[in-house]
Amino acid sequence: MNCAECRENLVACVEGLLDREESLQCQAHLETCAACRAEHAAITRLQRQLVARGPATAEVSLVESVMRRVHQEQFKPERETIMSTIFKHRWGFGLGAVASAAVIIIGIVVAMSVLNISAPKAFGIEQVITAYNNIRFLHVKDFRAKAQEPAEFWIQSNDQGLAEKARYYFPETEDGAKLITWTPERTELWFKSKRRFVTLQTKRIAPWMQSMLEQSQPQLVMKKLLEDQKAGNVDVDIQKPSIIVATHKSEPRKEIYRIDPKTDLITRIEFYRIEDKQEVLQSTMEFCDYNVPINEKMFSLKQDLPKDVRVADQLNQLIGVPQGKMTDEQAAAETVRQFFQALIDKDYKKVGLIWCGELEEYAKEEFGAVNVARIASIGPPVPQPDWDKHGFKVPCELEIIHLDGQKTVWKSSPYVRPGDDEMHPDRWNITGGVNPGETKIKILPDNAKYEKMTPRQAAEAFFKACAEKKWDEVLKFWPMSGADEQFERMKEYLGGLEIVSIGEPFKKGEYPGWFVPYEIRLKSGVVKKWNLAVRNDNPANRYLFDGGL
Amino acid sequence: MDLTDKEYVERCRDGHQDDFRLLVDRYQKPLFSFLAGRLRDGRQVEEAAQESFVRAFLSLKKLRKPESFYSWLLGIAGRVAKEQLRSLKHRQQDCEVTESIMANAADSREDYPLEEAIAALPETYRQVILLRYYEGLSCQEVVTRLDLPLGTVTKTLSRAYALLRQELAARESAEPTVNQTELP
Repeated sequence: MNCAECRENLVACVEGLLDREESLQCQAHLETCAACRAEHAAITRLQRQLVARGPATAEVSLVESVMRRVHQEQFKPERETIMSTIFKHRWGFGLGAVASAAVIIIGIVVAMSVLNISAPKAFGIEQVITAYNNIRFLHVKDFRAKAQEPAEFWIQSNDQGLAEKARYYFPETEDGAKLITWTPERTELWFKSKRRFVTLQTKRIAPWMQSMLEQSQPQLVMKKLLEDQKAGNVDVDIQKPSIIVATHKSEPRKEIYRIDPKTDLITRIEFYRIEDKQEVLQSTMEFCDYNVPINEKMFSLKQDLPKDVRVADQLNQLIGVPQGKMTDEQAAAETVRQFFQALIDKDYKKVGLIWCGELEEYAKEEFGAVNVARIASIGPPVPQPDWDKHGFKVPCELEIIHLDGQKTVWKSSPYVRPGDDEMHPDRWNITGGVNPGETKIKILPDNAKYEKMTPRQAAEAFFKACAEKKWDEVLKFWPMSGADEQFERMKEYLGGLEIVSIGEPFKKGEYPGWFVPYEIRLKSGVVKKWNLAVRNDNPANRYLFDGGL
Repeated sequence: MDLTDKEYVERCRDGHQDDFRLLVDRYQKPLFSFLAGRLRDGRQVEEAAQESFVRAFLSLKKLRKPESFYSWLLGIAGRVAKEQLRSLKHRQQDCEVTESIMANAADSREDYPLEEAIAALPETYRQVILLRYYEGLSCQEVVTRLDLPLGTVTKTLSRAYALLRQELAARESAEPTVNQTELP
């Protein structure tokens, strides 16, 4: 190694980044060259000085304290009363609303006197308000009592305090794990378990994210609680400077708000249900990472998508079936009719457009093997008032012809809804409830043996077949093509599992099948505890896997 | 989200005032280190650092060269530190503790020019130095954070060392003063 090469490598050498041979060469040169040795010593000396900075400043954390002071300074002239701060506050209750201002002032003063909250006991609401003056980024974890993983939310707001970007993750829904990103212009939904990805535009998410932001703010929480207290709906108890307990009078519920006394930020809300005088924790919301900037990449899912995800585009194409002069029921039934007619006609572009805008190639991939010969019956549509957006399930019967000529009746119940808000409000789509796997259900030569199984026996036989990697047997409980990619993934995931326990089956809601609690240990060592959904309302009358893995 | 100092300063001036926290986050450690060299007492250093940032925020509109934010911030911090020492001296003139603080502050002068020298670096070099030494990242972690090849990071470090040494050597003969090109 000559001097030039040595100088070029000196930093890498000091940083320990050279491989063994290069390092030896560098050392050898340093031993023989005084000039390079002096350079090396100078760099090492400087590096030592710099390295000392790390531990000396490791604990320094000035951001929140500085920003609080910055906000205090900014709002100094108006900071004389709680209310002036509230009205200046970006979450304001209506700027310039002088009349309401007076009402709120009186409301809070009255409520505080009713509550007997002296100023010190109110743990410095002014500081709390100031602390919340400018939340731009928020990360929330929502732990449901029986869920294995929390739901998570990341929200970014603009300078006016309006939610402008969000990402949320629901690990357990009836659709499986769901990841969603939202901006007013574009929403992306990734149904991870179903391997579907949808882009659309919706206004529905904004108010929800807004309420999440507002729940994290003590001054709004306090205002609401004090109003509820005044109306006689709730008892508010400020137990410590950092704990507020709200007990509802007309409902068996209670909430505990925990506030970090150092930062005046709400750190946690615990939601309890009171059953037989016992407080049962229902869920806990943790507010973390206040104002920790969220990477832009978090607000788009595109870079996270695996290649085999099926894409539906509701942003750039006209989807669904127009309602025209039809009633909602008629539109729902007509949508289903057109969908299955498109399947009969093998018109996969149309199938895709009604199937939430799924692109033609994916619609063909999904439904290409389904041989619908005839629509036997459709309807009547059953309204679904529990859905967050109105819609119907439309029970129908279709005649299927299998490759070997066997004919079966496919009972399907598509979910039909009008399009999303501002995008396609007058066009109806099928959003679920159509499982092409069901069309693969055939009557087995030894079908009688399987027909006799109880839900529990079927679940046990299914897991046992997975444990023993008897895939032909597995396919009897989970009809799919043995050549499917999905089948390969299933083999990889479930092959060689160990059954820990199978519980008593139970029914829930209107689901026509059963839920069988199970606990399995996958070959990766991961223990999975959940409910296997099985149903036997199929042409073969045997219990088949319908979800819950 | 990693913008340059200039971009953050401009965003703050345009009404995105909460972006100031990102500048605080970026410079809190070197600023603390700089003030620790002058004041030594931990609580005082923290107060002075807070005060410096707040003054900087309130005077942002007066900053003529937004790209020189850090250097300008050190100028403010230098004055805050002087004020604190003066005020301590007045309040506790007969207190041994103060004398000891003053003595320590005087002794510490050989070290704090390092932060000033860092402030004088072009932003690309300063960024790597801050991440490597004040944020405690390894070279590999700096590579990941900045999405740069390892060779570029080591070359940047190498150049940054050279510039720092040059700057420190230039300061050795001069009186230790903070950059006062722009007063808030």
